[in-house]
Amino acid sequence: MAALETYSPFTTQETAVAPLLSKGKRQDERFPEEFRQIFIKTGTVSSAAGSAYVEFKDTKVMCSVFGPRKALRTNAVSADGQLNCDVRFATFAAAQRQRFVQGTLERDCTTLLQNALEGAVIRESFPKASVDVQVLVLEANGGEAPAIITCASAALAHAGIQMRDLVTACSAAHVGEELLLDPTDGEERRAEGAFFLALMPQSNEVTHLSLTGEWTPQSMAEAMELCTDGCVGLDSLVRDCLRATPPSRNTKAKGT
Amino acid sequence: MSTSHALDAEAYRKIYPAEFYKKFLDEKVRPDGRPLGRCRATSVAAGAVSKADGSALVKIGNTTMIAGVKLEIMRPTDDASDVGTVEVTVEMPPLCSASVRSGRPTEEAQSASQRISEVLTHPAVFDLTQLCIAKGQAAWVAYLDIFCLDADGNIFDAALLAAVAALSDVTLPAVTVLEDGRVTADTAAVAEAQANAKDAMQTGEENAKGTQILTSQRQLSLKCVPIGLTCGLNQGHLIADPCAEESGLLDTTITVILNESGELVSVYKPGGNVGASDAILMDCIEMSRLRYKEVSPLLEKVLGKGMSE
Repeated sequence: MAALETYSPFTTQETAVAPLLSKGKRQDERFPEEFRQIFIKTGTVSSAAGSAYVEFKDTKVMCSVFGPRKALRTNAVSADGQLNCDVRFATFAAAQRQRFVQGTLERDCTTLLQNALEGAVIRESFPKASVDVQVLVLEANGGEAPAIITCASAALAHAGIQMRDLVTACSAAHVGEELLLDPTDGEERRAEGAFFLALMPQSNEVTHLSLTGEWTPQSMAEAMELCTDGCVGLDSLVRDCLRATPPSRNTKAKGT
Repeated sequence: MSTSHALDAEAYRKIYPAEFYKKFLDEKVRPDGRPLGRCRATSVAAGAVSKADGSALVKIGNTTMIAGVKLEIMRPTDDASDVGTVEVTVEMPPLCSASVRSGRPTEEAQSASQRISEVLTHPAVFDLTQLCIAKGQAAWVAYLDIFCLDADGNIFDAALLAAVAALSDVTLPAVTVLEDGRVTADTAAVAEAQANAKDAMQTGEENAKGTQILTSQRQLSLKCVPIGLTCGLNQGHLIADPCAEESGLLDTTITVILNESGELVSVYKPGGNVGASDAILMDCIEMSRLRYKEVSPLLEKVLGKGMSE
């Protein structure tokens, strides 16, 4: 059947432009340096070797890890294991319906996730095999990238894949003089600069960092400090969660 | 060397799954402890995704489905000028199971999409004219996408339940048609059209602005609530709601969908190694009736309306 020609009747641009900050608080009643409500759960997908679900309030991400298992493509050059990441968005995740195919957004997120995790996963520990990280974004309301990375790293740990450290990620936006931690999509659109950090908090090593827009060296340093604290906070949440639901290796045939 | 009995059982299960399973069936019980006719714990939650216009999360045991509806506008075709459509897609992304690896949609998902679409767009189940905005000009398209988050057997029943809950969760917004013929749900434009319509009513004349087509906000509703039960046949035993491990051992499956009056909406038996006798079909229908009684209170609770009368 030919695809229907349809359009959305909903307007996406905000009509009344309310200030991002009033009386020191944001539109959703948060302080500038406050996270949204975070929920992390591991062990959400029964047939996966490891899985996790992460919620930054209305940004919801789910991740399954399969393997180590037989790789679909063999790598002739290296004997190290392959880390394959794939990020998809549900059709109803954003304001406008998206078709369920790999578009630019999915590819960008996949690359970002791959970059952020590569440094942490010990690929020598599963030679010639592959570990597949499958992510589905159920709802996107800003901060997808940090949620995706945190969720994937929790799922990898839950799967018992050897890693140097967990990777957690965090974003910040600057609006005028103010720095906003964990911006929503509305705040992201109106920010003058965006800062993104993926960190291995225990070893304090950066796996991925990006910076766009206008930044002064001073505001950059502040953002770095703010996001580092954010990543450390997320790290302890993920660790608490992993302690509560320990990896369930060898209880069932998995990931074949 | 001491080997524990637990280990032996696990090894036996892997090497001889059919024999392992038969030992349970002969005792009229299943490896997960269920009697043959019992379904796994089921839950339904509506409004799981705030960005969707209607949504639902359904769990049957481990099997998890999330359904979301996105509303868009289309121009109806000439031969069906007063109806909209519901576009159903069941997706099984690679995240849901180890056996799905990236690439084409799975056969199971495609077959489920097709069957759910047939059930939900049947005039006895869903009146497509409620999606009409202006005859011949504009109608709603409800894109109903159902994502499998965890595939542990019986995908179809969970997907249908999620689809029904998500579709009933939809409220069509008030819309008005702009001068260029496009439909908008923009609050300012709708408010203006409402004011114009009121003026036209009061003055009793139909001026140009008063004829702007305006539909008010309304909830979608189903004429009847279809709920399905899939049973599997294994070595002559009929088992309800098979999990993923059981599905691999089945000779065939039979899905019976009923409505609240206990009437058949759909029966589906997709081939398989064996046929199903009249007696087995009757058993399936009877089990489906019992299942309906289990599930309909869950749906009623989330949709907040009496649907059993």
